[in-house]
Amino acid sequence: MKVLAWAKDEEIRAKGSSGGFVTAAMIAALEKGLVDEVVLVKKKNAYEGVPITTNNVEVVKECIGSMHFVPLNLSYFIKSGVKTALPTKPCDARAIIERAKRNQFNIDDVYMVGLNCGGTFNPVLAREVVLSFFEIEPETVIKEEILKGKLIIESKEGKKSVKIDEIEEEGYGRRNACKICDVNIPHMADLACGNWGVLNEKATFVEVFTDKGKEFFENAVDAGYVEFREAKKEEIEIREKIDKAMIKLAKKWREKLDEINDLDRRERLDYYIRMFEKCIGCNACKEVCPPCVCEEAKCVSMNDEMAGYKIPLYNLVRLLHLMDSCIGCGQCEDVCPVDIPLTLIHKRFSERILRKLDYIPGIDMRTPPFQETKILFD
Amino acid sequence: MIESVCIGCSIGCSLYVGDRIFHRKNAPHNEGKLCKFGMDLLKYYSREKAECKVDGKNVELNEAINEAKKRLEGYSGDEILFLTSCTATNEELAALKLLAEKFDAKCCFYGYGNALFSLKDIENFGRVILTFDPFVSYPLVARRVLKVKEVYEVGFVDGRVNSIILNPENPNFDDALALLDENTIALAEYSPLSTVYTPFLKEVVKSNAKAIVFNPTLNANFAAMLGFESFENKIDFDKVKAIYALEPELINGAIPSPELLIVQSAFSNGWCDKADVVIQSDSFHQKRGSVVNAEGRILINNGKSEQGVEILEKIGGFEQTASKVLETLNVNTIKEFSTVEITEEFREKEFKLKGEGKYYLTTKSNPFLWKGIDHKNFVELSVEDVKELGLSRTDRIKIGDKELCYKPSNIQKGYIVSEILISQLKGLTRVDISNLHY
Ligand SMILES: Cc1cc2nc3c(=O)[nH]c(=O)nc-3n(C[C@H](O)[C@H](O)[C@H](O)COP(=O)(O)OP(=O)(O)OC[C@H]3O[C@@H](n4cnc5c(N)ncnc54)[C@H](O)[C@@H]3O)c2cc1C
Ligand code: SF4
Ligand code: SF4
Ligand code: SF4
Ligand code: SF4
Repeated sequence: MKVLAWAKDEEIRAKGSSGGFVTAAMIAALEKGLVDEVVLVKKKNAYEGVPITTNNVEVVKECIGSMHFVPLNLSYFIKSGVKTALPTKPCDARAIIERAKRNQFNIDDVYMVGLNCGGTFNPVLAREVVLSFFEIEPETVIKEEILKGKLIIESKEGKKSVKIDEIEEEGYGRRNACKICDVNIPHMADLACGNWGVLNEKATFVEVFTDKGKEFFENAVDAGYVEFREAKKEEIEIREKIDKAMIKLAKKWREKLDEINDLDRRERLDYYIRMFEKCIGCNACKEVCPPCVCEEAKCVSMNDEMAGYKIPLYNLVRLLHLMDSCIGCGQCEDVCPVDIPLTLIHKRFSERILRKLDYIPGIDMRTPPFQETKILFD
Repeated sequence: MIESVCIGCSIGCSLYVGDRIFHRKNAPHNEGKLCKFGMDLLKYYSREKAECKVDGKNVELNEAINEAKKRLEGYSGDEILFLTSCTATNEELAALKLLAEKFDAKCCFYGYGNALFSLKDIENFGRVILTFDPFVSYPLVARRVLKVKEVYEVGFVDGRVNSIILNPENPNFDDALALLDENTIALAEYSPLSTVYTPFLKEVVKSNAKAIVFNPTLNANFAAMLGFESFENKIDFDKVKAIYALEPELINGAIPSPELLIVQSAFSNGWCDKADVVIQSDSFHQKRGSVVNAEGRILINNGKSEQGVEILEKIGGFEQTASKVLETLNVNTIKEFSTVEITEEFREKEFKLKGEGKYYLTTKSNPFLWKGIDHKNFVELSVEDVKELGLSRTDRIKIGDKELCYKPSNIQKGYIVSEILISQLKGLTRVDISNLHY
C-alpha cells in the first residue's frame, strides 16, 4: 500500500516535517490504546534532540518535525513487555530487529514507524557548515530542512539553501556512516514515511509493509486523525528514482572514503594497527552498538591489558562478532574519542562474508549465520 | 536524562546522565565523546554516600549545618582555611568564596587556571609539546593532537610520539623550550604529581608561548577566576586551626588534622572519616549549576539540586551567590558553551627527587582519573628489567609494602610506570623491586 497521508489537525499538518502523519498517527496509537508509550526525539535546539519515552499526547506534539543534525539511535529505549511505537530511520529499524533477535523485547510489541533517511549530520560540524556555507550565526537557526538535495537553513533573516553535494565536496556534510548507508527506505519497518514522491503538497508519502503497519495506519484513519489518498504512478516513480540515485551515491562514497582499497595485505595490516593502536579502551563503541547486548561481553572479558598486542583483543573480538551483525549505524564512530573510522572498518570486515552467506543483518528475523553455526555445534 | 558534565578532569565532557550514560553529541568541546572515566561515571556516582555527622554521631542535615556554623564562629579568620578540590559548580565555589570573605579567611583551591585556547584550536598549530600521554590522561586531547604535524612528549619514558626524555636526577627542559615558537602550543598538566614539569610551565608562561593547562579536577578555572589561592602555595598548615573542605576528595596527599575539620561532601571518604562535622550534599550530577572548563568554556549541569549552595549560604547568612557568579564571569546571563577569558599568574613549584631505590617511579597518566574506579593493580616495567628480575608471567612483585602485578612495556630500563604507586608515594621517587616468585 502506497499513499499520501496527512494529519487532519491543521496545526499538526502545518508543523509536520512532511504532512504530520507520523505525529498524528502516534497520537492516535496512544489514545486508542494501540500502544502503551512512544519513543520520540524532543527538540532542544536545531542541533540537539533528546530521546524521550512518553504517553502524553501534548509531549508528542512537541516532538514534531525531522532533525537532521541529531544522529541518534532510538532502539535502546524500548522496554521489554511494553507496547511501543517509535519513528525509525533504517538504522533504528535494523537495530530494533537485531535487538529483538537477542531477546531484548518481543518484536510483536514494537511498531516501527519508518522514516526514509538520506542521512544525519554531526551537530558540531553542522554548526560549522551553517557558519561557513550559509554565513549564518549557528545559534540563530530556527529551522533546518533537507529538500531535493539541498540543505535549507531558516533564521531571522529568512531562508537560505546550499546543495549538499557542494558541502560534501569540502569534506563536511553527513556522517561518514550515512554517506555509505545504502538503505534509505526502511522496508524492514512496519511502514515507511517520507517526503520523496510528494510534489508541492503538505503530505507524507507512506508505504505500508506489514500487518502491524496496516493496523497502525488504519487505527489513525479510523480514529479520525489522519486523511489520505492513493499515491499516483508518477509520485511512486519519482520516489523510486531518488532512492536508486541515493543508493548509487552511497556506493560512490563507499569507494571514495575507503583509504585502503588499493593497498596490499601487509599495508592493510599496518593500517589496522595504526588505527587500533589509538584505541584508549573506553568501551564506548560497544556500549552504543545496538546489536551488542551481552551482559558479560567477551570483547571486554577476553581483553588483556597486560598483553600489549598491537591491536587490542577487544577490537579484534568486536570485528569478529559484528561480521554478521553490524547494521552500519555509525554510533560507534560517533562516540569514538580517537576518531577511528569504525563504521567503514566494520563494513570492510563484513561485506564479503555476508555476500557469501547471502545474509543482511537487521532486515528480517533470521538468526545471524555465526549464531546459527553456534547453535548447530551446541 | 540530565544534561551533565563529567567531573573526571578539567575538560569537563558534556554528557547525559540517566539509567545509563548517554553521549551528548552537540557539545562543542567533546562532541559527545568520553574517555573511560566518563563512560564509567555511574559507578562513581553509585558509591557509598557521605552521612551527616557531628563528632561521629549521625545527625540531620540542619543540625550539621548549625553545628558547622557554631564551631566555625569559634575561630578567627586567620585560623580558618576554606579549601576545595574544585569538583564543584561555579555557584558552590562562589558561595565558598563568599563564606570565606565573611570570616575574612583564606580560600584555597587545587589547580591552575589559564584557558585561552579551545581543544579544537590545537589542530591549527604546527607543533604540540605535551607533558602527558594523551592516550592515557585527558584522552579527549588525543584526537586533536593527532591532527598536528609535529608532536613531542616531554617525559621520563619513551612515549609513542617524538620523545624528549628527561634525566630524573636533573630534568632539563632546554630541548623542549627551544621548540617553542609562534606555531607551537604546549599542553601541560598541573597537579601535585606533575610538579616536575613546573619549571617548564613557568618558562612557557614567561615566554608568552601558547599553552593549555589541564587539571585533574573539574572546575579549577573558575576557582582561579574567583581569586582562590593555590592550595600548595606556601600554606602554613601549622597555623590553621579550622578547615572547611568542600568536596576535598581529589586533593592528593595526607589529610590534615586541624582542631576543627568540617567536610561538605557527597560521598563517604577518608576526609569524612576524620571530620568533626560532615555535611552530606548531593552528588554532582544532581546539581543545578555551571562550571568553567580548561578551555574557559561555560558548561551547564542541569540537575535540580541547589543544596550545595544553600548549605554554604546558610552557614554564612548571605544570598548573593548567583550575582557573584555572573560578576566573576563578567556576563549578564549564563550561556552554555560560551567562553570566558582568564589568565592567572603562574605559581612557582619546587621539585625534589626523593628515595634511594634503583628504579625511577613515574607515571604516564593522571592517577586521579581512575581513582576509586576499577583500579588496575599493576605497574609497567621494561622488557630488560623483567628479564633481569627473572620474572615469569604469573609472578607478582613487591614495591615498598605493595604487592603488584606487572606488565612488560616498551619503556626504558630502570623505570616503573605506575598510576597507583605514584599517587600513593606522592610524586617522582626512586624505589626497589623484589620478585615474589608466585
Ligand atoms: C534524519 C532524517 C532524514 C530524513 N531523510 C529523508 C529523506 O532523505 N527522504 C525522505 O523521503 N524522507 C526523509 N526523512 C523523513 C521525513 O523528513 C519525515 O520525517 C517524514 O516524511 C515524516 O514526516 P511527518 O510530517 O509525517 O513527520 P512528523 O509528524 O514531523 O514527525 C517526525 C517524527 O520524527 C522524529 N524524529 C525527528 N528527528 C529524528 C531523528 N533524528 N531520529 C529519529 N527520529 C526523529 C520526531 O520525534 C517525530 O516523531 C528523514 C527524516 C529524518 C529524521
Ligand atoms: S546510517 Fe543510514 S539510516 Fe542511519 S542515519 Fe545514516 S543514512 Fe540514515
Ligand atoms: S559496529 Fe558500529 S556501525 Fe556497526 S552496528 Fe555497531 S555501532 Fe553500528
Ligand atoms: S570507542 Fe574508540 S577508543 Fe573507545 S574502545 Fe572503541 S575503538 Fe577504542
Ligand atoms: S576526558 Fe576528562 S571530562 Fe572527559 S570523560 Fe574523560 S575524565 Fe571525564
